[in-house]
Amino acid sequence: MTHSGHRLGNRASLLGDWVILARMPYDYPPEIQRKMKTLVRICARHNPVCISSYDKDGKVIRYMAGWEGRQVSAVHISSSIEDVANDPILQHHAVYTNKEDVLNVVKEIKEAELGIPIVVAGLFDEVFDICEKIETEPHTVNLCVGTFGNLKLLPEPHILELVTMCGHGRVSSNLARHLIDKIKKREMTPKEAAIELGKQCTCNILNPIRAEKIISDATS
Amino acid sequence: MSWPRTIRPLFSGAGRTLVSINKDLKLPKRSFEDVMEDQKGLGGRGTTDMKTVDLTENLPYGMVDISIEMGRPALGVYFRDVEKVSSSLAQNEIDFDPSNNLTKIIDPSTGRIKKEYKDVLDEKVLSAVIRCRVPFEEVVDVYDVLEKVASKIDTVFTLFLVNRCVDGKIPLIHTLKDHGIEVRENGKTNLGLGRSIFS
Repeated sequence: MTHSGHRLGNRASLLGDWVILARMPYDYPPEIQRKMKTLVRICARHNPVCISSYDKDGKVIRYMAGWEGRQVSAVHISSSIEDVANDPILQHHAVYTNKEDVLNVVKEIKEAELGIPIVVAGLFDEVFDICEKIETEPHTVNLCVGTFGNLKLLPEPHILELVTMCGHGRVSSNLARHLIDKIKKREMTPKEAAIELGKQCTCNILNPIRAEKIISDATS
Repeated sequence: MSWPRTIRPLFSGAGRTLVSINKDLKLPKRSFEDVMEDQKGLGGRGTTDMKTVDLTENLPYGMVDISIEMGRPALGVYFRDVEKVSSSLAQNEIDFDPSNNLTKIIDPSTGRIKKEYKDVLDEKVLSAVIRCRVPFEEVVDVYDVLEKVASKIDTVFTLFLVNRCVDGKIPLIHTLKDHGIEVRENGKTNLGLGRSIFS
């Protein structure tokens, strides 16, 4: 339930970070799968930087912009947008870098009358503006009230911005620091580091474009 | 890998855990193979409620679903710290969500880890979500409880509140602001497009 709600950053940075989540309850009727495929194809048409789908056995197919074949490793395998769009799905995630694309996606989804629950993670005022534009009323929000406890243990702000883009906290702060060190030694580019971090996020919602920008800022 | 270490995939994995919630977990004597077998399917560490609430209508107006994600961001959490927070909530008569993974190993009357699962207290996982539901007017009381117990833990937790929108607005934000509680400007919004599917 928390997932993409952890994303941290300033307003300018978050304006380039949008996640669309589509999920059916477990007992959904089989005929809905056809609608889910339509939904993924709509999402695929509007410049996602990440897109993925899961089947009922938990198999995931994922595309991430900039992920090249040479960066594929044993457990992390990249696919094309077309592969994702053709996969049978129960759950679907897509990441975008601008509001216009998100608006076009949800507008098409609404017009298609798919009836599939859609959650958008992003700045509330911008998401509510999108709702107004497509003439729908937001149903429910998940608000983050903040982080409590021994805050001194938390990593540096730019590392936090990177690792909180993974919905399950599976991107290690130490890996982020290690990759930033490699960039400083000119052994890696910010783009390569962003992809390496994105690979760890197996539900595929780490925005590689935003990550590259955060890494570039931290190393310049 | 043997018990209690086999508890870790349930709280450190991404997805595939929800099916295990619906089965008899057969804790505490489980092999690693048992745990992996039960993880076929989909899900996360929490529940799917917010993502499908427009279909299921599981969240009535006037109620707030509270998620306390222990160990996030970035740090992870020992179950002994989870117990400190859950027992504080139980002392204030907060009911835990029975559909949540973590609730399976907690004694709802005390908030403490059940006797048969005490071995997990020194196990560390990426995160554990404590979930409960309270009426709108009790949210600030829960916030106060959490603020107090926060100073007793050796990690962090992030607090999330799920509530219904009313006429395109978020009433809870105003209540929180009235009590000096700030809310982050980003988060998740269920657009309500699932409402028509079965109606």
